[in-house]
Order: sequence, then C-alpha cells, then structure tokens
Amino acid sequence: MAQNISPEHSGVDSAKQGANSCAAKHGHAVSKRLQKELMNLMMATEKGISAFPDGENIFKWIGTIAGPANTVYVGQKYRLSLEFPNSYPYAPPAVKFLTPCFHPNVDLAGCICLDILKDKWSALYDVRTILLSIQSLLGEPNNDSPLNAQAAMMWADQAEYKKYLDAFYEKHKDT
Amino acid sequence: MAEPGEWDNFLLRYPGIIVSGSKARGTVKLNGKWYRLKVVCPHFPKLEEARLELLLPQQVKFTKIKKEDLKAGWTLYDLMEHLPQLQHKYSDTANLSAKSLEITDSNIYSEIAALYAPQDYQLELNDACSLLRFSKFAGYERHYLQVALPTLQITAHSLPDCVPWEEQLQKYENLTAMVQQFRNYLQHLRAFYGNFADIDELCYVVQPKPPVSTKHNWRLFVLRERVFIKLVLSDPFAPIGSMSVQIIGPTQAVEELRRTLSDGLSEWDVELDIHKNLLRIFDICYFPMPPGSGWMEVDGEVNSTEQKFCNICYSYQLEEGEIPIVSCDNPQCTLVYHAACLKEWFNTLTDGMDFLSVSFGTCPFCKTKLSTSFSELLAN
Repeated sequence: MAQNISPEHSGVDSAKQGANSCAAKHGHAVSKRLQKELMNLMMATEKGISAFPDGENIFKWIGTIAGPANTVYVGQKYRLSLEFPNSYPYAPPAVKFLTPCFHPNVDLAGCICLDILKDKWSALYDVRTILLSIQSLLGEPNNDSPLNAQAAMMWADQAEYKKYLDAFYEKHKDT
Repeated sequence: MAEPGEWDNFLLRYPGIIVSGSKARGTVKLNGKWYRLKVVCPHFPKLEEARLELLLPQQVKFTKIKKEDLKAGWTLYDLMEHLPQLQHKYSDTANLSAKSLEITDSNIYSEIAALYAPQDYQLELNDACSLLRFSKFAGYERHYLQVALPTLQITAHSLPDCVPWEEQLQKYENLTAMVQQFRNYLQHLRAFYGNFADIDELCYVVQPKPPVSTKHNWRLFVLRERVFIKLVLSDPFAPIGSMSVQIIGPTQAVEELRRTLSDGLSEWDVELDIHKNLLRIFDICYFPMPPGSGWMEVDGEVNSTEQKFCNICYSYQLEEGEIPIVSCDNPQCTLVYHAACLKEWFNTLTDGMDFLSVSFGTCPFCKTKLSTSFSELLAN
C-alpha cells in the first residue's frame, strides 16, 4: 500500500539553536571571504607585502611588509599579526607589529594608530589594502596623533632619525 | 473551571488529543481502532455541561453524543473507555455496504488506504507512521501536502506562503475532505502559477534562488544591465488584480522606466499573461536570459549579465540565494553588492539606523547615492 518513504520532517529549531546556527553561518561566510583574500594575495603582483594564515586558524594571519623605497625604512622588514573578528569585514581586524618598529604612529607594544583600522574602516578594505596602507604610513606618518612621542619629535630631522633607527634595529635585531 | 495542569494525565494517556482551554480534540486508539472526537469539558474530568462529538466512519461531519447515553457519574476517562460501544450505537450499520463495514472495523490507516490512488497522486508514509505525505498530484507534480498522524495537523505543504492555508485546510475534519480541498486549491491557483511559468522559463530570475519553489509569490528578474523588475502577486486567487511591479536599479533608469510602466499599465491586455504584457509595455522582444544560456541581450549584443562577486563578502550567491545586484548611481563605478551585505554594513555605521531611514545610503566605494529602489530588496 503506502510506499515506505520518509517525508521530510519540518521541525522548528529552538531559538538557541537558531542563534548558534546563525553565528556559525556568519563564521563560515567570514572564512570564505578570507580564503578568497588569500588567493587574491597569492596572485597579486604587489612588491613588499605578503600575508598568510598563522597555522590552521584562518582568523589569525601573519603579514610582512618591506620598508618602502625612498624612506628611512628602506631595507627593513616587518612582521605583523592580523586577527579577524567574527564580524569581519563589517569590523576591522586587530593589527599589531610583531617586529619592533620605531615610528610616530606605532607604540612599544606594536599597536598602530591608523584611521582605516578604527573609525575610517570600510567593509571594502582587505588584507592587501591594510598592508599597503601601513606600508605607506611608514613613509608618511601622522605626527598630529603620535603613539611614540619621541619618534614624532625626531621625524623632522630625517638624517638624525635614520641614525637613531639603525641603532634601534641593531639593538633589537634578535627580536 | 478546569485547571491547566488537570489535563496532563489525560494527555499522557491519549497523546493524540490536543487541548486548548476546556476544549479537546483529536484522535485516540482504543482496542486497535481509531476514533476522532471533539470535547468541551468545562468541569474536567466531570461531564457536567460537557459537549461531546464523535466522527463516525464514512461520515464527513461529527455526530453529537446525547446526554442520555452517558451514565450518571461518568468522567471523561469513562467516556473514553466506552467510545467503542457509543460508536457502535451511533453507526447505522444496517445501511452500510460490506465495503463500508470493512472500513468501520478498521482505523485511520484504512482511510489512508481508501485515499491511495496512484493515478492521481503519490502517497508516502514514514517508518514511524507519524507523517503522511501526498505528492506528485496529476497535473501539479511539484505540489505536496504533509500531515501528522493521528492528529491530522498539517506540517508542510507546497502552496504560496502568503496565505494561511493551514487554517483553511484544518477546518476539514477528515483526511479525504482535506485532500479534496487541497486539490481544489491547486485548480484555483492555475492562473497564479501560469503567470510565473513564462517568467521562470524565459527570464533571468535572480531571486528567489532558482529553481524557484511553488511557495514564492514574487520574482526578481533582469530587465537590462543593472536594472531589475520585482513582480509580486499578493493574492494567488486574483493574480492580476493583486499584482505589483517595481523597477529596481540606478535612480535615473528607474525614473524613466517607471513612467513607461505606468503608461503601459493603463493599456493592460487581459488576454495576455503578465510576461507578454511586460514585453509589450517595455517594447522589447524578450528579457535577458541567464549568463551562459546562449541567448542574446535585448539590444542585440551578447548577454553581458556576467556573474560579479559582491565587493563586501567576496562571494556570488548567499546561502539564501541572493546574488549581488545593488549598484550605485555612478555609471563609472562597477562595484556590486548583496542587499544583505550592504544592510549589515550600514547598520555597523554609528548613525546606521537614521541613515537607513533617510535613504538607502551611499556606495561604500565611491560614496555616490544608492537608489532608494534597492531598499525594496531589504523587505525580503
């Protein structure tokens, strides 16, 4: 008589399950976007910037920036950490220098004062644009809102700044 | 008055019953037979002022049980135990044919057997015999109706979401009447589905996610580059009378096309379906087809509606099926976004809510105004 085929069950999930699945779905969307960014970065032709996930966790990346040409930072190489929130790209990643960086807009803990990582963030920015912005910040600091007052004061005299910078990196070369 | 907790033991004993206040209805199995009944029992479990109705085999309407047939001092529990005798008393067995008698001695599953008609629809029963599904109705292959057993609560169906069909169908007290009414609805909805058939086949439908289910009463499809039509049929029984057509796209194009549309609507040809009327209104031979379909664009060039990723989430199709179609009023800006991604982005801005109430917002890239017509997409 009746074919023994199970009709689909249309059970309503609890609110808790719904919230969990919503968060999981959003996390999945973020990791999908980050995977696409990784592919774009690998295909990109930009010199002096690169980034890759730190191990298995796609939400934590390590980026590298080469000091831009025609600046006191030329020849230097910096490692940065990028931590992406679940709300990325609607909220910016937390970006810090891992390599000690003597710069008016970088503090001793590696925190960066850059508007696009704060109130001027846009969902259209990505890892590539972040690294390029930080790279250009190295050569063009914003001395009006310094995190490192000493560096801001010294910036006007580029020759003196360069001399101090070399000594600073000699001192921190092991880190 | 019966306290809410007083029914608990009763419901444990008879799980096929549903209680609302002092009213109870549903199906119970006694001595291997199924009985459907309705009870109003204000002094539960006592039967004072109670109203009782029983659905007899081969009957469509419930039969009221007379007070004189209930013994003094009986409770609702006693009544349940004596249902087989009461049913026998109320059944006019002399007038029933042999076939009817056979069903009388059976249960709800015999009714299912009687309904089983392979030439008209497919009938499926799950392993636990708790769900029954009618599907592949002749001439309406994509439609289905699913009910829970033995309560006959509708758990799923294929009719448009915009009408409370469950309420309508739940009025019918037996399965046969319910299925018959469902099939009547399918016939009445022929024009509704017919109007969407050409659009689904001959247009680039971007939402709902293709293949579009029978439950949707709207379509969003491409009119031309960056411009879309949203068609909604609010009342499935009067598709043309309840039709709304919206143009969605950059402001300038929308204003121009809205004028064309309003002029054309005044000369609507009732002999033609919606698709043909829209072709006539916009003075085109056909609407753009999906990418890769090999069809030509309206202006004679090869279809250029290629798949562009959303510039916020970097993906083409969201899980709900939405694709990125929101673009700004700047013809030089080629970026597109999902409406859902833009909404999320606007909501994260400090003044996001005020921003949205004033207008849909600005392009995150070039800061050009986004057409307010796109805010219609957020209604889904």
